[in-house]
Amino acid sequence: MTSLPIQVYFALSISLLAVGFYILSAKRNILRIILAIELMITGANMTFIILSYWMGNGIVDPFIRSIIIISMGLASLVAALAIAFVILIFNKFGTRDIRKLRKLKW
Amino acid sequence: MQIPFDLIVELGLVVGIFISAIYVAEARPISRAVGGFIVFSVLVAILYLYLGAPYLAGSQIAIYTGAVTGLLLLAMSITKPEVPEEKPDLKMLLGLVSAGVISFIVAWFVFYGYPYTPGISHEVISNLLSRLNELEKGLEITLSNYLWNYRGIDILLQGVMVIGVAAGLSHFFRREVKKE
Repeated sequence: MTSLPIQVYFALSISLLAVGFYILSAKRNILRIILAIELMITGANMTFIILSYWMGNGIVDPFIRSIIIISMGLASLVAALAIAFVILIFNKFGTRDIRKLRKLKW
Repeated sequence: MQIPFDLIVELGLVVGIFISAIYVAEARPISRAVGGFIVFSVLVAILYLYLGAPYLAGSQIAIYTGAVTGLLLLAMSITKPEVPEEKPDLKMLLGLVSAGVISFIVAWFVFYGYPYTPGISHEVISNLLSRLNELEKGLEITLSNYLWNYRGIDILLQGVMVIGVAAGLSHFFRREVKKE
C-alpha cells in the first residue's frame, strides 16, 4: 500500500479538477482551455485508479485499467477534435481568443 | 527518526503534479504551458508506475506526452501570433487555494466520516458486498436501502456542489457587471 494516506491522492484529483475549472473560467486562450480539459480528465482517471488501488489492497483492477485506457483514448480524440476547431477558428476569425467568438451567439 | 524513501517519492510526485498543473494554468507564453503539461504527464505516468499499473503509465506517456502534446505544438505553430492574456488574478488564485483546502476537508470527511455517517472504510465496502450477496439469496436488504442508510455522504457532496455553483455564478455575474 502507499505510504501516504488515500485522502492526499483524492485531494490531488479534486485539486486537478479545481485547476481545470479555474483555467476554464479565467483564461481566454483556446489552447490553454484544451490543456485544462486534459488536466480534468487526468484528475478523473486518477480518482478511478487510486480508489481501485485502495479497494483492491494494492492491486489496480484490470477492468479499471481497461476503462482508463479507453478514457485516455477518448481524451486524445477530444483534444484532436478541439485542435481542429482551433485551426478552423483561427482561419476564419484570425484569433485564439475565446471571447472574440461572441459572434457565434444568436 | 528516518523518513521512509517511499514516502519521500510519493510526496514529491504529489507536490510535483500539483505544481506542474498550476504552471500549466499560469505560464506564458503558451509554449511554456505545453512544456509544463509534458512534465505533468510524465509525473502522472511515474505515479501510475508506482501504483503498479505499468500499462497505464505507458499509455499515459504515449497518448498525453506524445500525441496530445504533438497536436498542441502543431496547432501553436499554425495559429500564431500569441494572444495577449489577462494578468494573473490574485483573487482567483486565492479562490483556487481555498478550493483545494475545502476539497481536502471534504475528502477527509467522506473517507473518515462525520457525526452522521461512518465514512467509506474497508468495513463499509465489505459490508456492502456481503449485503449484495445476501440480496442474491432473496433477502429484503437492497442496495437502495443501503444507500438510504448512508445518505449523509451524498447530502454533504450535494451541499458542496450547490455552494460551489452559487459562488461561481455570483463571481461570473460580478465580472460581467464590472466590465460594463
